[in-house]
Amino acid sequence: MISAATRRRLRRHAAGYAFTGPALLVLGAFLLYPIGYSLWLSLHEWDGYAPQWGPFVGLENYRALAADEVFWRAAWNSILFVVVRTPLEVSLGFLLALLLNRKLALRSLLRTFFFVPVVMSLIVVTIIFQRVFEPNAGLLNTFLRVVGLGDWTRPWLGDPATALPAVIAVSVWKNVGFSLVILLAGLQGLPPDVLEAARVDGANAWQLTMRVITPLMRPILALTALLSIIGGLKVFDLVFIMTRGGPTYSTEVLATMLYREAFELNHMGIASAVAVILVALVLTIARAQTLVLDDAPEAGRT
Amino acid sequence: MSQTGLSRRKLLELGILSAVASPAAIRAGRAAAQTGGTGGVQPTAPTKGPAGELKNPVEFKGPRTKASAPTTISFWQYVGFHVDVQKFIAEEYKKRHDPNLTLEITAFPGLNEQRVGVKSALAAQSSTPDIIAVEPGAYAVDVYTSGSVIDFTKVFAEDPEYKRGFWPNALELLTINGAVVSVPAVTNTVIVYYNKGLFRQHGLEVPNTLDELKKIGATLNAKGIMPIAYPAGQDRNFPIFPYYTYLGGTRADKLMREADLGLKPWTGPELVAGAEFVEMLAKSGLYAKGPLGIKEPDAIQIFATGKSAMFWGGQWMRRSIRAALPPGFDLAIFPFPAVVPGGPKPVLSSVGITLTVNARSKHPDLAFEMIKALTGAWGKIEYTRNLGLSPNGPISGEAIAYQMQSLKDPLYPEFLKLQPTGTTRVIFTPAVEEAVTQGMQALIIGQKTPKAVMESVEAASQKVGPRKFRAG
Amino acid sequence: MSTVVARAAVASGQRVTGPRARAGRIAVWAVLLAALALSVAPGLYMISLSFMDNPQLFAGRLVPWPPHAENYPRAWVASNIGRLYWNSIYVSTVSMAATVAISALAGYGLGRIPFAGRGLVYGVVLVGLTIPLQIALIPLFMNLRVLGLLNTRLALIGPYTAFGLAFGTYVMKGFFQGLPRELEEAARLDGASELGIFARVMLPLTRPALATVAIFVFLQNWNEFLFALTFITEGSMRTLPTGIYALLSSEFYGNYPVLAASLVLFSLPVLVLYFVFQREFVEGLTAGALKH
Repeated sequence: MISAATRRRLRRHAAGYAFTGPALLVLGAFLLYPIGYSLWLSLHEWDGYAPQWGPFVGLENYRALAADEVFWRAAWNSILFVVVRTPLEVSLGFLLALLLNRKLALRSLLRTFFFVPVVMSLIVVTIIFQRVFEPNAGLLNTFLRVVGLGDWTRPWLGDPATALPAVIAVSVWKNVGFSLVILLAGLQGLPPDVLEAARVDGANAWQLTMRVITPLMRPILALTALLSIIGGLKVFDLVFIMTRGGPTYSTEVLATMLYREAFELNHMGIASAVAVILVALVLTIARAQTLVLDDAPEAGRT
Repeated sequence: MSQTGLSRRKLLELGILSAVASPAAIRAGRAAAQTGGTGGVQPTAPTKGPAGELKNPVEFKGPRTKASAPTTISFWQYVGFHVDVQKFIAEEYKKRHDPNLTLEITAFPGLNEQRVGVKSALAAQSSTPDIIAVEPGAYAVDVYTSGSVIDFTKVFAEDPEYKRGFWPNALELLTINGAVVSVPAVTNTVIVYYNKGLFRQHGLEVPNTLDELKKIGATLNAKGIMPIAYPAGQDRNFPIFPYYTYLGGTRADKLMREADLGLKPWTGPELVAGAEFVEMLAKSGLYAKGPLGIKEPDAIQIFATGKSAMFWGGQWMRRSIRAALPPGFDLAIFPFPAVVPGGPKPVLSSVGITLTVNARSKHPDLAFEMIKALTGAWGKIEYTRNLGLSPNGPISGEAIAYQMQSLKDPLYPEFLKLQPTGTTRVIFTPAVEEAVTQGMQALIIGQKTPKAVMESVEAASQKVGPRKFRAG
Repeated sequence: MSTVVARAAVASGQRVTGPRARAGRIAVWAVLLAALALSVAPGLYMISLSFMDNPQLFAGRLVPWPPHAENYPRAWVASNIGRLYWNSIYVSTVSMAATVAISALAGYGLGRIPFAGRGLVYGVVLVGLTIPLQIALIPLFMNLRVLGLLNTRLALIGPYTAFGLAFGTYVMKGFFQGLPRELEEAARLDGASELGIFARVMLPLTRPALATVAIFVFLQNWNEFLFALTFITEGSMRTLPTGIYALLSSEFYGNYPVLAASLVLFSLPVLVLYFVFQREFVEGLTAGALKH
């Protein structure tokens, strides 16, 4: 005869699974299954046309990738993308948030406008920026010529040296508003008495920002950075539509390489290997970041 | 643009002249591409409609097989602006010959998107689509060698006249392992468009040799006009145009094909010379600045607004170019000048979309009949009349006259003349095509030396190993 | 610059006069206005572009003259906007609703029920948060094909729901965790079932988080491109992003002004909605996220 306590416990476990069941089902079908499938595919060779995947090749695809300079280029670009974009996005967002924090008058209005790029569809943004970067009649070069900086004109998206920075710039432009909004809300949620105490103690503005505000904002900064990092590693649409990874792989990231290997070169096995590596990379960085920056243990975390 | 001056009589003359010119061009052209007659040169009395306007001189022949019950066959393609004419032809076919057969067309936004869909459909052994549009080269090789499509051997055996209707050099592009895998709907050529007005204004003549072209470039640059608008950033094929051009001009394109198939090294002197040519052109000041960052529409505008005197591009752009030109703009074309003294003027030609049949289609016979309707003797005239692209084979003078009625573009017959002698611009091995594209891009921006580029192409070619198919 | 920033951060409504403070304020406004200009310039350019024609654009003009308002009717007709909007609204809303519902349930389970294996389940959720979606492209395409669901709205609703679930569950879990125990205990003493507690007591308290998830997920679905491109090829079933993309290879290829007009038409309703509801938008977005 099961005791009442045990029955309650069992009911609790059952309830837990009942509540999380639908989510598990959906996530399993649409995310876990493809990951497993990709993992499986990455150990085979397949051209994508034959009905069944080709021969099992073990880790050969991974070995091929390790020897492929395009892969290392793509990996490097992916990391560069994140390493440049996230600090820019978060610090610009933080700067604007700090500035907006006190300007009560137009704060709402400004915040609204700063958030507009986030709301705009990405494909709209890429089309517009292609017009901006066009070498002969584009907005940027025209502007440079008009203000007398004609020497600075470049074929922005056609020059390997400037293509990746241009793409990163567009990405920062698109996402700063997001960071801004979250950080501003965080700033507004800071305990006023702590700030007041510091001010009374004679802290000047600089010290206040650096020594008091920033540490208090750490968890929110970390969250913003984490979201930005994950988004940056996964970036596909922006690069694909603007430059397709070119010219000469200067903007190739792991996601575009995946697409190319799968759909243009018919290397499904290799594409899956890239996918697996990308997933592993994202998971590692996300985990590392949460470990490093998340001091306070979450209540009730198992 | 002197459209008003084209009376019906003039159209007929133009048409007949072009048709007559074609065989002459063929005879003067390369031996390898020629097999047998080209047909359709006899100027017979033109067929006239009730209002006196010209009609399609060819009879729309009926099919061998008809649908026994209402059937819909699906067609997946990737060029949105072809849909209207394809629908028109399908509807005529339905009206005149087979009321049971309906064609359902899906136009994907682009080649890659269509290829993704097709790959997945074929991998899933789906019976849809029945008709697939494929590009010559790697795409056609892929679908054929995987056993996913049916070749045209039987269809041609049953209807040799249908086969004769195609340009031989076009079919050759689509022959894999000895069988024709798909048939072209249209063909196109790459040449140099030029602004006749600007040329006249600066006393320039059409260049016959590379040196003359360079001199023209110098003159134009001195006057602050960019010589050639070259949209190398448009897609993967554009960066390779100069390379194909050089190989055509030095008659090394057959060698390139062999290297493409892994039978010869890409590091041979003729092929490296091509890369050197590409580098030389990029450094010559002939291109509008930043070619890799320029796309087709941008280049068109640069040309249309007179900022450049020439535009290096394909015939398929003719309509877009015309649409962009201000009134009074005198548009003309010339083939790229000879790249070596005494050599031929290389014209790059290729086919447009090609049509093939899914091996798992439930109605392959009907699918083939529909393809014959779209690409056969009657269909090709309608198809190209509507779009102003070149037909997939020779057509009669009166057919051209009929087309010119609605096209009204005097350049159209000029293109037709160039088609038979073109240098093909197709690479069959995907990894090689990727390497060549990237290599050419590197040459255009001066990132790598010609030798290094050809070495990386050869490395890519060797990595593929022995090809599992035979081209031609 | 940082001194200026810090100064601005401190200048809390105090009427500080004097040259240093004024210089500080000017600098702050300069930065803000520069940022504002950068934020809206591309959008304004798009609007300006939509009234030009190609020759004007390539002559390097920034402002159209004469304006070509006929680009708008042309764009409207060519892109079949009504249909695109309907498809996008349908797909985005349905998947958002599903996501919100399922993540609320899952968030409650993870946040308030200590059951065995909870950590593992949460781990799965976190994995979902970090997965790049392209990995699911081919496998899903093949499955949808087999199920005959390609070119249906369901083909997108399923994946979109899944994509939003990880984020939604993450947010809801954090929120549920932070709710006070007293209410729950009281309800339990009253003999309420787990589901009852969830639905009647806890859920109503999570409105800000629900709003966060709903808005974030809706935006994400609205703008999703790759899967919409691959799974939906039938013109009448297309969503907005792919509808725009298809315009690029239509007869308006190269006709940037008309393209720009269609971009404006596409963006306008979303922007109007955003401006009208922007407070809810922004506050919903931050409330749930900050509860962590």
